[in-house]
Amino acid sequence: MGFLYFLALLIIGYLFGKWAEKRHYRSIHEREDSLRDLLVLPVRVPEPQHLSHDSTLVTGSVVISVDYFKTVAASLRNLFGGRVGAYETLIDRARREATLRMQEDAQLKGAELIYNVKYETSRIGDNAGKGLGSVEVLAYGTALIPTR
Amino acid sequence: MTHLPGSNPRLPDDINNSHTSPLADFAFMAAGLLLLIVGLSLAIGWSATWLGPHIPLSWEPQIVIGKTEEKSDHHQKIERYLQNLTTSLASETGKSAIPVTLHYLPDVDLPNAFATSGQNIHVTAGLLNKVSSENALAMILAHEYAHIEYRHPAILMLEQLAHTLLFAMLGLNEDGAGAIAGNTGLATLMSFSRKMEHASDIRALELLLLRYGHTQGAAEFFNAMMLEEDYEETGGVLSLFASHPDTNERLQRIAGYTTDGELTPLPDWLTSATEE
Repeated sequence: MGFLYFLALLIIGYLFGKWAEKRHYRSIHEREDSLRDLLVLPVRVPEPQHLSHDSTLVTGSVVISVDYFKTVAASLRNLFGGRVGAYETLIDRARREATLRMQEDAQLKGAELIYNVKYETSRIGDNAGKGLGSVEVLAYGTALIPTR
Repeated sequence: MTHLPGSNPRLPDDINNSHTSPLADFAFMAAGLLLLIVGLSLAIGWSATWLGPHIPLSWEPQIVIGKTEEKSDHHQKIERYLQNLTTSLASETGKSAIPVTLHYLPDVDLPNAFATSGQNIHVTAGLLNKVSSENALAMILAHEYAHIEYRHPAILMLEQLAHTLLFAMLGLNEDGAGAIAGNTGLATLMSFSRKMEHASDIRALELLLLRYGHTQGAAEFFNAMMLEEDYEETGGVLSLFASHPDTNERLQRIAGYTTDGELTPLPDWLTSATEE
């Protein structure tokens, strides 16, 4: 009985996770295309033509949790070692989503581009025993807004 | 002259994301884990079989089922009888006879007998109702004694302990240490393996042959069992047959050894009292 419960969770986790991943990547690609001209730069020092722009902080943050299938797959990886493929796709999506949200924030503020982009991450719900913890990915930078 | 790019780059989808099939990956690892556990289990079983008989008898924890404070005279009389019968069987092994303690379970109607850790043998009232000769009863007692002689309870405990440790080490059991303490005590209530049952059957026949000069009656109890099918697991204590090799198979094996002889009847007081 316990095993059936485990199997059901595994299958639900896998199917739902697969479906969500596919849908999310489609959305990421579309939004990246539409924001392609709003530059995101790691550079710290602005180019001369941007020296008279206004500047403001923009942020984008995502909190993600893993599905049951990924948890089990990753705990198996813990035994054998190696690349945790199940988490890689999740974190890749989280980073790109955070960047997109930051860009959307900048777009709302009328920014032309974002300098000095940085990422940070933190774990949430780590002390929820063996429950599924979550990870926050935060992207932030300095948006430069043209002055009139 | 600007050094800025015209637009954001198109991010590659497959550098940070391996896109390997998670199912294939999962199946591969699960199979590997299973193989590992099976392999280690076999190793544990093998080493426990080797180590078990070397553990001092006194190290086995005492596990007695249905302990009662007050025993009726009749109860005590039956226990004494069972004790004497078993001791006389065990003494046939000569120098190395192991002292065992017999326990009678007057309230259990299910025909059953089982050996537990600490050299204890339990016999239910249902079993005494079922047997019609001393030889049949002796066969069962000799079988349980053989388990103890071969140190099967100790072997089971070792296996259980090693398994719990293994699972705790692999992180598959959340309350590792507690589980070790809790589970090993119950180990002897778990099933003996078919191999153990097989060995005990043979040994019991040997003891019977030594004691009575023949093995007539050994198959009787099993014959009776064949007619009834209600020997399922009850109340967490495995019935004599739940863990045992197919009754039919055992019967044939016993038949192969059976030699003719005169049956010893059960004492009158026992048969009349248990049928009340």
